[in-house]
Amino acid sequence: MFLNSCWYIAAWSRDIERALVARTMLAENLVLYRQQDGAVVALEDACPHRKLPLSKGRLLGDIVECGYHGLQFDCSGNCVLAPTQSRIPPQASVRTYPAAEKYGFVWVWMGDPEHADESKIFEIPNFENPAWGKTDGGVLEIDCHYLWVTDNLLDPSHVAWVHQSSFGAPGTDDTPLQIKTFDDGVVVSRWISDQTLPPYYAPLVKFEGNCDRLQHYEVRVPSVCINRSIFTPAGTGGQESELNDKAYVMVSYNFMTPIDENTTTYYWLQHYNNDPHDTVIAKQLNDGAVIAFNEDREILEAVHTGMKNTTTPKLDLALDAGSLRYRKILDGAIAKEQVS
Amino acid sequence: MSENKPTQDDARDEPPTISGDVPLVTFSSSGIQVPWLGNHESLLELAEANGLSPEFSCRAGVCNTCECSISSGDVSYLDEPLSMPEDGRALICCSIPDGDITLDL
Repeated sequence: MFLNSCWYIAAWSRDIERALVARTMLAENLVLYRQQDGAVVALEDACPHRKLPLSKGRLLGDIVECGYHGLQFDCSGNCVLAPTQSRIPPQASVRTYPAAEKYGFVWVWMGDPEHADESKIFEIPNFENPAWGKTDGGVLEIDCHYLWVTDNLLDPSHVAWVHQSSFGAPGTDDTPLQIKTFDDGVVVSRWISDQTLPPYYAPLVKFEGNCDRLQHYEVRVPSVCINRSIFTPAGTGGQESELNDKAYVMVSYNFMTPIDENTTTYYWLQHYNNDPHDTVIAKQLNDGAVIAFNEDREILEAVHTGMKNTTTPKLDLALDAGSLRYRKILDGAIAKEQVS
Repeated sequence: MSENKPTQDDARDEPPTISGDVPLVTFSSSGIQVPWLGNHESLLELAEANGLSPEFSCRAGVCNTCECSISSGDVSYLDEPLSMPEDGRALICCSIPDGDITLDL
């Protein structure tokens, strides 16, 4: 079960050019391409005749031609040519999916097209702020249900064991977590006081000595995961609204698009409040993210398999509170959508 | 403290209070009755401090493993349970007594 009435990322904009690209999202098969005017189109990836994926056909100008008998479709999904006969059957059409580009991504609305509203695309604050830097970001496919990933991104505790070589640092697992729930998501966070800067962040942060740090893990429906880290000189932390001048803010955006019940595409980028032109830092951060996410992937794929094949019951721990609350909120949204 | 084990009938009526100010917690299946002095985080911790071993898992109100029956009285929740138990049942890991209370533990 997926929440359909949402925008999901189908691709990085840079991966959609003048060619047919197949994508499976929420167990539906789509074909994407870029028109000559630059607009991205998303169609059902199935010719109405015998359901051959249109992605196996050709892109001729702005027309998609089926590779089997040459039926041609335009960006509205209408058949504009059926070369083997004189009349085009009026019902020859494919479903179109509203598509939009924002933040370097192609977003596709998976619900009723009448309700597609681009203002509902998730917003990234400071995206255009010239003082902020960002990584190129990346994409990775994980062989697990997407909610194992959202669970993981609401769980600061795992860092101390899964990411020992990267983000983990002493003191990151004792301080109690605050959990806040909202209509559309959950935030799990804590300020940790007077810590040594973790090795991963020490070269990036613009002050020396000990720090106060904020760990903030947030997931919003359907599967937008925001991981904020703030490092501020020791003694100046505790309040996000009054950040010290030297505070370092790093936000990791992680967007899950379910492929199906067993596979997920994980899109990410990092965004931070300094070094906007430093390509070396941007690359280091991106490389670091790749390493860390592959550490998560190894664990989560095994969890997915383990949980699909249980012979004994699972159990819940205190650390699951945030993710269990999130799943309940998402289940409620999905149930509401089913009814309407 | 009362010498007699409270019966089920006693528990359904008003249980005796030791002092007017402090709630009395009765664990009816174990025959233990103790005042709630506020020096424990939850009813689960009170039970454990009195030699009981109720089932638990998350200790955070999200798994319902510690859910038990209340034969009289009520609890007040510290964390909102993820899945609120029905009337007459309570999650003891994240609640404290709201007045005198009798639990089937």
